[in-house]
Amino acid sequence: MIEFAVKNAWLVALLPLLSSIVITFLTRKSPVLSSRISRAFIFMALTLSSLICYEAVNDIDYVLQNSAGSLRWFTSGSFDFALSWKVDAVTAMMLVVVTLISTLVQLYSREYMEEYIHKGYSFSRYYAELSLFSFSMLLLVLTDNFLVLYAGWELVGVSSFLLIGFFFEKKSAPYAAKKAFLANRVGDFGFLLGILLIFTYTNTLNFDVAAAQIAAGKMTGGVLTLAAILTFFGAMGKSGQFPLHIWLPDAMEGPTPVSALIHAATMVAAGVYMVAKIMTIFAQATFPVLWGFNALDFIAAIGGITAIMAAFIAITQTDIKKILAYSTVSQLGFMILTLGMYSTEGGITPLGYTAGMFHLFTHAFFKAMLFLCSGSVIHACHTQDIFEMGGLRKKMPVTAITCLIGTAAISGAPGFAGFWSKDAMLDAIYEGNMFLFALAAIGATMTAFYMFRLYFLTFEGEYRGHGHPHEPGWRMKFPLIFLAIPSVLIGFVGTPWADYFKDFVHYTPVVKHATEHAAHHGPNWIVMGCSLAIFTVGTGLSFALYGKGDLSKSEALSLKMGGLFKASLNKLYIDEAYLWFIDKFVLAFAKASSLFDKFVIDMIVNVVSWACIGVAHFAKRMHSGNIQQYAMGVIVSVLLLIFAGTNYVYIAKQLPIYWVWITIGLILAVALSVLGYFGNLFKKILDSK
Amino acid sequence: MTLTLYHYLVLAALLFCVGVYGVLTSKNAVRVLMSLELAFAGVSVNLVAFSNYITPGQLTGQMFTIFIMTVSAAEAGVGLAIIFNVFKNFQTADMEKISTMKW
Amino acid sequence: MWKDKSFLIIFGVFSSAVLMLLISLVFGSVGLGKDLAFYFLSGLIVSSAIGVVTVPNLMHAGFLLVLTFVSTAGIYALLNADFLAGAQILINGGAVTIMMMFAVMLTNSSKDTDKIPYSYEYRFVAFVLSGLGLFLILILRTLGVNFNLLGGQMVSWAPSSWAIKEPISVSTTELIGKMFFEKYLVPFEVASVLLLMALIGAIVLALREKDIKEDLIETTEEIKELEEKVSTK
Repeated sequence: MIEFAVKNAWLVALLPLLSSIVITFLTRKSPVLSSRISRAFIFMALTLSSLICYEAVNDIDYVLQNSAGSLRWFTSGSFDFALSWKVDAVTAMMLVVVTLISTLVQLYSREYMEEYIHKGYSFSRYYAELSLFSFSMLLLVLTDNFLVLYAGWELVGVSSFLLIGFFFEKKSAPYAAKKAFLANRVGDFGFLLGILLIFTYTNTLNFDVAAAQIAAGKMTGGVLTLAAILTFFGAMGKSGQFPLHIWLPDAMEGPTPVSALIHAATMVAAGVYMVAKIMTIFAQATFPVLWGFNALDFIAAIGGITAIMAAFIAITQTDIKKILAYSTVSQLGFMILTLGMYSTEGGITPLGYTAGMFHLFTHAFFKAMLFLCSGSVIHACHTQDIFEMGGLRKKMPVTAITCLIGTAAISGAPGFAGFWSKDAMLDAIYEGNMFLFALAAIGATMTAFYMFRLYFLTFEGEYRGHGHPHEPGWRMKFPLIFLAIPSVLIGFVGTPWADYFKDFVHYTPVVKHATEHAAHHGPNWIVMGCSLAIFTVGTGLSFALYGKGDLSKSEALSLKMGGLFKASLNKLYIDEAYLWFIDKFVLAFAKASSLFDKFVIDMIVNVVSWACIGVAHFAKRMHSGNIQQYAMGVIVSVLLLIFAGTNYVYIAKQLPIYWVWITIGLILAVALSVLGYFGNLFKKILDSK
Repeated sequence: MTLTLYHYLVLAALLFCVGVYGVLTSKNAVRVLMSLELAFAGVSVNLVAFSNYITPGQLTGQMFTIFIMTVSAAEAGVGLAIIFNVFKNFQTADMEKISTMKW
Repeated sequence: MWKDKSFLIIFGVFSSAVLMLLISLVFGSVGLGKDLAFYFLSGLIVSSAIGVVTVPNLMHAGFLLVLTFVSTAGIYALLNADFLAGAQILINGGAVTIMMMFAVMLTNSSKDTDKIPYSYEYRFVAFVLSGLGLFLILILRTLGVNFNLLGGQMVSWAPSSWAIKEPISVSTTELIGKMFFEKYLVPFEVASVLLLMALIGAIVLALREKDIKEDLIETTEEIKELEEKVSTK
């Protein structure tokens, strides 16, 4: 069975696609059956991917050797574009994460979405789209070549678009979907350009082969750095990094389980995953381009900015899902920042790579759980404003406890999953750049602060809303409880003392050569102390302000902060900046273009048409209506064709000399008479005006 | 001087060119049709001559001539009907006056 | 009766045509007779054809057309095409030309047109185009001149392989009949359909819709009258 799973890894991706097709074409009319089919198929995919992951942990060599496969997709010239797949350690990990969270979310949705069926939203469509998303994400994860990666990349974009706009009767949902799509488009364009650049230079689309070709010197210097940065644009779009993050908070218009699956655990991780997967290419792009920055510096800078900016915005948000969304952006920023720490001066230490992947792994569990908790709360309270909640712990104990676990995990409470991964990340950044370390530390403190703020405002103190919230049914509780377990325990696979995760991930051949040089890295006590301090400060501040359910202190503080508070509340005016930019520059440019179109291009067209009309005014008079003149035109044309196609010198050689003179004379006579007649005709025509 | 194919071809060319000249210069529509028949006759002479000199005993050219005759008869019938109709509409068969087929 | 020009012309045309036919048929076996017949017939053909396109009176042009056709039939007879010669006299010389005459008379155009012919320049251009342009090319091509842009080889097939072959005298009527029903069956049927189409087309074109309706009304009224008469009796 394990052998089968490993050798047919493509089945994992195919199963959700099948369920999507079956739902679309066969069971569209019966929602319950659709949901069962979808859940059954994704559960099968989960089983298969668990087997693959089990085998990968046991014997990664076997998986690496046996899991690869390829189909010829199409051939262009002499180049075969392959639909190829391969499982390595990171892929095995992602497979389990994606299928597990998909399974739990689909189970959760069965209850959460029930109330929307009565409002006329199709359950079948929802499940078909979820399955489509799972397929695309698994395709993206499984493949080992750029083209299929890009296809999966766009497919997740499409399914994300569909799911964000799922509540199409809400006005804001389709707008949010469009915004997500457009913001992703910007990134994806860069991504495509990057892929094409790499393809042009290395003539391959396979990650490993491309990396090897680059290592062999096929692509160097500025071009390589440019290609790396362009490729990273894709990750910026998909993973919501700084200038392109604007879509992710708005994407919360979609159903909450969708946010948990797509916009917290899986799709937004695709950017990080992609960067990790082609890390060797990035690591070789050391040629400095802008102000001495190379590709990895760029990545780190973008990650750092995103991490702290999103955390800063999250502090003042009141919408529970928006807080979580900004938190996601911030955490993804941390991951990207850490990935940028891949290489340090004096040899390659892939510390950042492991730490980033580790955080991706743990973050998927607790962030999905937090979203599901928020879904549970929203389901109970029918509002998303945390200031209309409060005191829900007594009414929804399971949700409250799981949410507390998730909050503790993300804030980095010692022992929880997030603690170990965040510690590893801070360790990597500490090794790399002290300034960024300080930035990351501040960001992590903010994380602890706003996450506990969310918890306190939602579950502690007095209930401020109306209505009667209550605990949801087992289908929603089960995923929460199930996800709480890894949120607590999963971190122990990667403690600094016994880093199993690092050993596992490092076996990926992409970074194998680097691992061999890396010395064993023990616990860094300074960083660990910093982590503890960060957690304590963040949580303590949060407790002091919101812990007792008394909001007066925080209000006073917010008034005192003034501009800073306003900036955070208004998301640093980034949306406004975009609007201003579009208004001032894009629209101005468009207006200029339209003027150019109107007065230059249209003018050319008009002049041509006027010329045609003028010529036609003159030429129409040749249309005398006399059929015999037309027949004469035919004969003249035939003669012209024959004479124009004649090699006179050759004919002259064939004939005696007097024939030539006779012929020339006759031709002249013909030409003169024709000219004379038509000249006369023209004169008549002009006179007949 | 024996008769060769060229004699017949020159005759045919002459007949054809006279027909074309007639088509171009006749004022009366009926005479245009007559001239067309002349051109047809020229082509027919050509074909019969070829049939006789190039493929003797096979009659391919003669068969074609028969088909040409058929077509020319049909053409003459339809053409005359058209002229008759035109005459009804314009009260004339003058080619110069039938010139509404223009801008 | 003898003073009628038309009658004289008809008589002259037919008598000369029959004479030519006789000459070509009787002296056909003699080399000189055949040559003579050819030159005489071709002279008649060309002159009468020029007459067709130039004589002022359309009726005369029609008679000259008959002469042309009958002379052409003589040429056919010289070329061992006896069936064609007969068909030419019957179809072209008879049916088609008579149809032309009818058209001339029906359109009443034998007198009013052609009094003012096309301008001299126009006719000159047409003459140059057809008589010199087309004719020159036809003759040159016949002589084997290659009108080819790329030059290429002088096509020498014309004089050598167009060698005079002694015509084989066969019964062309029988052979043509056979070919119609074997090799050329489909074109034969298509041609018959074409003739039928031409027949119907000519009727539809010549008869106006209004005329047909009026005809119908008249006939129905006549039938009614007849019925009334029958019933009263």
